[in-house]
Amino acid sequence: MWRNLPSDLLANIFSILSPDSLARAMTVCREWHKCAKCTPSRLRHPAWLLALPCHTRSSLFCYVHNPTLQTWHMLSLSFVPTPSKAIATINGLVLFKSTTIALQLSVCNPFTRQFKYLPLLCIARTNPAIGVVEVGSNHFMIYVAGGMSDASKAGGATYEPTVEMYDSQFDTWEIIGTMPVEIAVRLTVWSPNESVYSNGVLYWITSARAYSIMGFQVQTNRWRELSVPMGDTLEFASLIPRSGKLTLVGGNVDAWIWELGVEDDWCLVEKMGLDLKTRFLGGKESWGCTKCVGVEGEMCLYKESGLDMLAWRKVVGECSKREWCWIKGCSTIKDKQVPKFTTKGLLIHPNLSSPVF
Amino acid sequence: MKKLKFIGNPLLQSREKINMSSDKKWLTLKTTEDNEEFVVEESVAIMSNVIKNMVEDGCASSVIPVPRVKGNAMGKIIEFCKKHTEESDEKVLKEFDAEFLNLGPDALYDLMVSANFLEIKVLLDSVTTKVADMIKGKSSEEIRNILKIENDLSAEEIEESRRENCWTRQE
Repeated sequence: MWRNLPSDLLANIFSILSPDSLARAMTVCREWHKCAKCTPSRLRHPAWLLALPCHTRSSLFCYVHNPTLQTWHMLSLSFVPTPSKAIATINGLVLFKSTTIALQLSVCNPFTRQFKYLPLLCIARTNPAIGVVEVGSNHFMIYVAGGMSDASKAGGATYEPTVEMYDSQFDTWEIIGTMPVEIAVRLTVWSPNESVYSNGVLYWITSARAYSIMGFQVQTNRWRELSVPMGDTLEFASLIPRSGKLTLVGGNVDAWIWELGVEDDWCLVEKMGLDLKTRFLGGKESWGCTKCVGVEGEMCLYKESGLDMLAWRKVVGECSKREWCWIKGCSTIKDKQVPKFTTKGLLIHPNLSSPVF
Repeated sequence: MKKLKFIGNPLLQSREKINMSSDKKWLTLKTTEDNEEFVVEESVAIMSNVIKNMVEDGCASSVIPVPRVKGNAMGKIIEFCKKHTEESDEKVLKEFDAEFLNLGPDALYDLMVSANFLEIKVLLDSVTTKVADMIKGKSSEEIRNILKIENDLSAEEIEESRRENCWTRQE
């Protein structure tokens, strides 16, 4: 009976299941396996946190946190060629860059172990700013701006004042325009963190103080700069997407969350309670190497994989309320001690059907 | 939009037993698989989009034959629709649904397929959620036991899936 349930009804059931429940349902019988593979993932469930080691090892792996069961699991990424560095997540995929010779980008689905190199850039360059725009559940664009390109003329490497765009629907790169050289210089020198796309603009923030933000308006090819509140004194600062508004998380004495208003002014949204800060820092005063990662609906502050992490999530059932909750640090997986490392954190919605491949 | 074929002659024996007030309209639904008849208020019956379309097309005075739905499923469906038309308190309805859906896998299956056929969205959504709750967090073996599904995957296929999905297991 249930084995032969019409696939649209089965898909309805599957769309409610969390990714791990769906993965188990896939192994019930052949029909269910087929249907689950075609069920697009819907964003009803909280994002999963991936903790990747910052420093490349011989074979890549990461820890992944199941937010419903609050358990950590090990995920092998041995199918990703090394050396590769994870940059961002795009829907259910992880974007990697490798810098052996020229910059090459690749995407993988860490749960289904599918991997694909993206074609090489039109203009080979190192250290550009990389921005991701999710258009639909299977469609995304990647923008690459600035960086240093090989010298074709005498005088050594130069800053590359062009912007290229990758469209996943066509699997090709295209140079879409030029940019002022000084912006190319700054983006390259800044080594910006991952981008945040909000209201038609891709934003990047510097990776260290003095913090400053650069925005690229995708449709018009225009650049603009934004200042950061207390940009000189913040110990950490990061951008996250949030309900269509550009949101900034930063801290020194305290930690704050601001959102960008219509007039390019920053409005305070939330101030982290002292008890949360104390617990997060383990009694220390300084934020040290605190990092922050965010996707729509969730933000996470973290340091090292073994230490407790702090998430700021949408309250289930309420659109505009958020709550702070703890993610226990990963020191054991299935009762076995596991190594700890400086972490690169990413938030991902596991997707077991990957039409990109 | 599914169109049910219908016959012309109304069979009104059961109506004599019911006190019919002049301002309520009544319909007779007849499950053609087992020839059971159900007299229901039109306001209850039109929770089914399919029946609603038929009524709007002008077949309200006839017996409406309902294929593919068994008598006991029809009875349960009418019970559900009746409660949902009478009651507006969300909390009461939630409690009712929880109790109502406390059924075995076969009955739930019939209910889901019938609710889909008759296009009763509220009921379909409730059953869908119930089934999802029944299988979430369970291992594939447990799911097969609960829903009485035979395993038709080969040992290798299962082993391969288990290896790939070790991130889902806790043991």
